[in-house]
Amino acid sequence: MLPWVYEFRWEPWHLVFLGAFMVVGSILLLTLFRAFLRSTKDLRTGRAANMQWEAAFESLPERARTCRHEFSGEFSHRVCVNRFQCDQCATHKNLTEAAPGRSRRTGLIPLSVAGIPIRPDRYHHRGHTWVHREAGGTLKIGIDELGKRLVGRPDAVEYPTVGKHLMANGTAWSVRKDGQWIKMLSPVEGEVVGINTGEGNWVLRVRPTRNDLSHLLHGKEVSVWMMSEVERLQQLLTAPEVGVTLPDGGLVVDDLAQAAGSKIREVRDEMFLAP
Amino acid sequence: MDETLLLPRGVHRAPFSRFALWIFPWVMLLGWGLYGAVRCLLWGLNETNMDNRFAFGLWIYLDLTIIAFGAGAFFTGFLVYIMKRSELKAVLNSAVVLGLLCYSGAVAVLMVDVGQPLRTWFTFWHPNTHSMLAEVTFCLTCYLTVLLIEYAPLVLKNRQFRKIPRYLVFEFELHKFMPVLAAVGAFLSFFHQGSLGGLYGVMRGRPFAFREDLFLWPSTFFLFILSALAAGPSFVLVTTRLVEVITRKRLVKLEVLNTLGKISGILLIVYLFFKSIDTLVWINSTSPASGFPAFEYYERKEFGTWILFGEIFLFGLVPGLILLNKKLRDNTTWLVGSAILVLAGVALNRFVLTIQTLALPTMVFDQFLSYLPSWQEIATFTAVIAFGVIGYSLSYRYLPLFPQERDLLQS
Repeated sequence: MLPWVYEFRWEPWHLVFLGAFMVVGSILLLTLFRAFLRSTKDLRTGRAANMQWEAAFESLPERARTCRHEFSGEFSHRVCVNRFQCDQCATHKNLTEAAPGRSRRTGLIPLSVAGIPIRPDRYHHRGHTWVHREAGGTLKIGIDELGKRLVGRPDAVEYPTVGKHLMANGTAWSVRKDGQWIKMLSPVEGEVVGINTGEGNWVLRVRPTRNDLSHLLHGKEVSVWMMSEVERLQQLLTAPEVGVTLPDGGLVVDDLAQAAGSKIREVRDEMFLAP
Repeated sequence: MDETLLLPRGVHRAPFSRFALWIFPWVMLLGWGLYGAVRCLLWGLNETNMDNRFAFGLWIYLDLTIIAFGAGAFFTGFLVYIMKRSELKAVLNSAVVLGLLCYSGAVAVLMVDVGQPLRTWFTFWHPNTHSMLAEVTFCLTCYLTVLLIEYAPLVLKNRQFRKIPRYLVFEFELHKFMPVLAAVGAFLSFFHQGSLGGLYGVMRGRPFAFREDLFLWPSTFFLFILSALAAGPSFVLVTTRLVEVITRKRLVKLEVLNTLGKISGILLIVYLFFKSIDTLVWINSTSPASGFPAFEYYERKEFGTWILFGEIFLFGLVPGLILLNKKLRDNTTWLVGSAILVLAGVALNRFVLTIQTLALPTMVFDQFLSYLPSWQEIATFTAVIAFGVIGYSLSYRYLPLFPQERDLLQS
């Protein structure tokens, strides 16, 4: 069968058989090698953050991937398939172009949902960070009230350095609480130009790469989203043996960590869309 | 490290103490089985009830059966990546794990059966060019490698590995090549499933198994492929349902199990059609040409016509027709029950070709031989089962095997 075997003679069948296995072996080796090379290149060019977000998004349950157009009433049920990157979504583009005058951002906007205050001038990321436009073209970024109640008073905060380039949906800053590191997702791509390490409701000042915030939630859809997040939180806190419940109101407590007990780590990972 | 940090996110798993209680008896069984296997390796096949006359026994039967069941891995991959049946992604990870465990278990048993595992490389360096097993060995080795490569991204999906960027990125890039691996796996499986059937079909000295050539190979080559294709989806279906029952959780939507059952049913009917033609040709032509009227094989009570009836009708046509009926498929009891019958039919077919073939006399001085496996053989057999249960249990506990589980839990 093989050339080094005693009395071996080449025949067409040998070429076919050996050729087939050489091809299979080569394909397997080439596959591993190419995957290795591409991953090395991805790490070098900083694409790892995008991949982490893609992996995190794909592992989210459907309830956490509701399309924003369901919040604004244009769909009764729709799941996002574009990793919340609405600027890359054809459906979002068609809907906003088809009805530019019908703003989702007009009408009465509730200033509070289940005890969570909502600022109408802010843009919200699904990972519970918000963005506020400043006069000089920079953006302030902070953590929303529900996020604050989930974290509580952090034991430690790891800030990015001034000048660092943030990727959208990558890690903006991290907080540590009860031994758990929570990565706060950046709502925009841009360069860090300021850090607030003191008291105050913002954390980073960023000069964005693009001025477009259309991929973030804004206006009336924020309150609908926040309500769905409160419901999602409620479901995460409910013991599985209890099953589905229908709470008819109430306010989110300040100290969610105490309310969640031993489940708080899992709840934080789920709510902050951690990978 | 807290063990719960290793568990997939968003799903519930039993406390570690309960899991340890589940694993413990399987580990004991594995230990007992390894003891039996080591005895065979140290003191040879005298530890078994096989001999020069009865060369195939429980182990080869086990090999053929679990390789047929493990076909679910390559076939599910083929359906998802090549045929674009995306609804089967819900069971793809589980199918890969099952395939890996089935094939690695089969290879482990072969190591004990053939003996001298340190000289395994002889098979590749000095292959027997006149044996179908040369091709089986090459294909099995390559396919096991494919399964390991397909399993690697699943391991890297573990919550803690995902936090390490280079592992996540490598898993991401490797996953892009899954269609290529699925195609290679389908190619390799086609040949080794077939060659295992061809192994029996070329045995001129065993007219019970011998079959005429169809193109290059005996008809059993193609029948083994078809029966494996029918058994694979049923095996994935039954194991998924078994895990649901044991864990008391819904892991996949019913439509997915329904689809698996339908595919299995269609392929089973196709297999039975060709099997029936093959059997008729064998009864009327091939066997008489060897000097044996077919009815002679079924004269003994142990291997009467009931076995042929069981293989084609009871464990073939009946479940095939049930699985083709949508109303019956929608009922879990009918669906899973039929899938179990399909698996029983394929297992019976492998038994017939392995054990019955050797038991029946062919030479005038031959006698009907009975064979009962020794405790060492049974121990090695149970070691493979235990290995499979332990491997699957660990994969289920620490890896995200079922993507629909989270959504079903929260709905």
